[in-house]
Amino acid sequence: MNGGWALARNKSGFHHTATAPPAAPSSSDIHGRLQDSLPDGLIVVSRDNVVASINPAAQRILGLRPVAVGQPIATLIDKFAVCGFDDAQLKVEGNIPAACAAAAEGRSGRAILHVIRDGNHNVIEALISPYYGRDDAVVGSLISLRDQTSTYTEQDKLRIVQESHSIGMIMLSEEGVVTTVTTRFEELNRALAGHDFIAAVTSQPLSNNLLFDMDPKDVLKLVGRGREVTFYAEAKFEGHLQHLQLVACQVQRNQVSEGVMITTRDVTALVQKTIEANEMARLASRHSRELSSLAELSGLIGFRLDQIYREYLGALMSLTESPQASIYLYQPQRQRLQRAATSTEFNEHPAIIQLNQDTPIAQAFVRRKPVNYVPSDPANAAESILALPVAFHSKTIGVIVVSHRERKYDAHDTKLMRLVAARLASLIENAELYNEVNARRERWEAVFKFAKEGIIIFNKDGKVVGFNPAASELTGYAMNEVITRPFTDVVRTVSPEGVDLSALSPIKRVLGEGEVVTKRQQLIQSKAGNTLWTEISYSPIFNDDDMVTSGIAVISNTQREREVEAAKSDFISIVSHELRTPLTAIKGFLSMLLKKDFGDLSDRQFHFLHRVYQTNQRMIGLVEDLLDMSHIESGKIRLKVAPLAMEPIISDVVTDLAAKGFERQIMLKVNRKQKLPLVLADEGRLRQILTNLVDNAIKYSLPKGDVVIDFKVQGNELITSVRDEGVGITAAHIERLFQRFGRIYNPMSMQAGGTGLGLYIVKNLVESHGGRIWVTSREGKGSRFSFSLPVAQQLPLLT
Amino acid sequence: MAKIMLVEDDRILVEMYQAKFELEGHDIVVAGNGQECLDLLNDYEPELILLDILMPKLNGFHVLKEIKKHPNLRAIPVILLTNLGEAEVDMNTELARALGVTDYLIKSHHTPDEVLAKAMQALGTG
Repeated sequence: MNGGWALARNKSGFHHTATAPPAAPSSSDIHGRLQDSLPDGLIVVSRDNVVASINPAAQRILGLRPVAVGQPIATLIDKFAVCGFDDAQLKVEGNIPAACAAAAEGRSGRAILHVIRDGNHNVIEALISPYYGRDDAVVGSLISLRDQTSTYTEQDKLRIVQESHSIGMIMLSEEGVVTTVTTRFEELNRALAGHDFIAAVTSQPLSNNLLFDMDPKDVLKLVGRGREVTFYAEAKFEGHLQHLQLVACQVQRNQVSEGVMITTRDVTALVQKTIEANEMARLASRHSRELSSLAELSGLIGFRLDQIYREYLGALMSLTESPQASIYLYQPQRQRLQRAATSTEFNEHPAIIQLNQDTPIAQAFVRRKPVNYVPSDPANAAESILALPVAFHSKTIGVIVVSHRERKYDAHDTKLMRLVAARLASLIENAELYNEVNARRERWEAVFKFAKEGIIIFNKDGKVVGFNPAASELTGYAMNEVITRPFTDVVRTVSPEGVDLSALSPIKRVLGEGEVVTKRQQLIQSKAGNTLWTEISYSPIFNDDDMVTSGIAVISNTQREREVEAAKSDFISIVSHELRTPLTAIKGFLSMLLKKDFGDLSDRQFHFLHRVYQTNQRMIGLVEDLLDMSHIESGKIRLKVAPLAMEPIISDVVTDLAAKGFERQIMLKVNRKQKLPLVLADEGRLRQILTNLVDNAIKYSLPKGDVVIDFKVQGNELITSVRDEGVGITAAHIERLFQRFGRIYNPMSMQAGGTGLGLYIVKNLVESHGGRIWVTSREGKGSRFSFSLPVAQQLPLLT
Repeated sequence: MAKIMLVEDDRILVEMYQAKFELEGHDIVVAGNGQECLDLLNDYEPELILLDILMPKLNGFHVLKEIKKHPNLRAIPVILLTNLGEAEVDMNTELARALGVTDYLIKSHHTPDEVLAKAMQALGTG
């Protein structure tokens, strides 16, 4: 065999590589040509691992110099740079010399050689097999070389794709055993390769880290029926959560199943993106929900607090995704928070909270700040609580609170709650204001409705806009008949003779000048034509800018009062008249006795009779006053007003009273510096006024005092004053001075005598002349009564 | 001495005025009401009539109107005496003046002496 090798060695040239086996020349010749012609490289290695022959294809494939024969195969590989071309490199996967040695023992082997030359990378598959001699004994080894560059490149690409891309593949045999697994996940590859697929995925360690959305058994069953099944797995590989999409299908060749192919695709990034997108969509939808909740709240206007609370609880629950929400209101008088509304069913939020309690709700109120309570031990079944104060300006009016067992509240929740709290605060405040205004309105409505007086409200145009039941009763009109009708049509004022007086209605002045008209006695005619005495007061209604916007008339029925007054007046009149006759008789007989018409009287008789006479005079004066009063009050006094000279009347009065003054040592003085203007007055009444005032002055003077009458022209009035130097009047008495029977309040006057009606009558007489009367007084110094009368114009129209 | 007719329904007042006038020597004829006055005036012509207003049957104003209508009686001065209130007096004074009354006196304001003085005044002897 060695000789054979040597022969071959000797004969071999560059192109003639010998095949070593000793053979018949003819057959050897064939073999030689065969060797030379083979497209595959062929290297014959002797049992001692020496290269015995190398065919031209091998030299070409490996890029070797012809000198390569005769050296150990190990040298050929190790010293490739020497035996190959200068610019070529060789890398070997596998151990060729060992393989050759193994082949020499009868075992085949394989190696991959990478030849890099001229920038080309050729991948050569080397199959190493035993070389059998004639007697089937192994005489060496054969290395056949085939350029597998193209095939290998494709496989390499696939491998690279599998390694670096998301696509992978798992091939199962008909029996369900994994024959090929190429995924990017080494853990998976390792766990699956060569194992039963179902057993591998359902047991440790994969079962811990791999979760399918479908049972893999079901997947394989479906695939067995020819279906393509897409399923997903969540895997925890290399410490990261990965998402796989798996597509399983049957591998069929000629309608015969050859197993199952499962492509895997790493969709982690996709899933992550989807999750992110979903999260964003969730957030977006949440925000939109929040916005719409808030918008709904903004649109919520109302004064029914229970409804408002219900809406707000709903909003709080949806905005903070809380199952429990409550609204608390502060009760200042009890210093506590009272739950006004709640969504809780089992009093998770207590009905009453004292301010000193250590709860988030009380704290939120007291500190006027949001309180976000997170339970320290979540396992303790405690709730997260978020409580916010509800404040209107500086006033904290309550607390809103939400709670949840399974979530914590964050700044966003606080922000939302703040918005809700602000809105709620103003609503509660508004509602309270509204309720207050409403209550006030109801009170006024009750007044309006139940007032005994007719109340009519008219607008700027004098049209009726408000009309109460009493007004309806007085006028005979129903409410719906009068609204928007002119006031003067509804309240028809007439004279006692039936003349329409609507032209004199003061409502133009009330509306135009804002004048207040009080207690005007007025006869009105009802819808049915009946007349009725009323007392009407008018008042303008002002707005905040002091502009008259409307007016109000209050009408009271004085018919009965007037009838009573009239009856009283008639009574007084009749009684007075009936009194006068006996008084006249007493006066007359006494006067004759005192004149001694019928005989002499002793001094005492005379004195006593004189006393009776004086007393009778007082009684007559009293009756006169009562009559005057009743006439004043029944309006029966009729003045015959004419331009009058004051001087003669004054002089008459002074003359009449001088004697009385003289009795009391009082001097009457008239202080007149110039001619007085004529006044418009009723002569008799003016005389009565003056007499009364001067008589009073005498009565209340201290002895040796003066009573002075003086005059002053002021504008178109003549002011006449009667001054005394008497006891004066205290301020308290001045007030009552001009009232009926005002005298009885003045102890001083008791001894002075009189009815107490004098000044009342004087005041009424002065006022019915269009004048005024007043008094100034200093206690102990005296009083001064003054009254004014209108001055007659120079060319009086009155004749 | 004058012939005076007193028309008055109140007996006490009649007695009072009668006492005064007779004391002064006057001749007094008394009529208790308006109708009696007119009846008496058929046969008796006084120089002065003192006439009350409020009387039964025929009141003073009616009597006054009748007197003033009568050509023979028209010239007799008439003094109205009344105890009506001030307001009625106001109304009545005008009426009385329009009817040509000589004077108008409120009884309670005047003593019989004063009435006598007014009567003398009316007779032109006061």
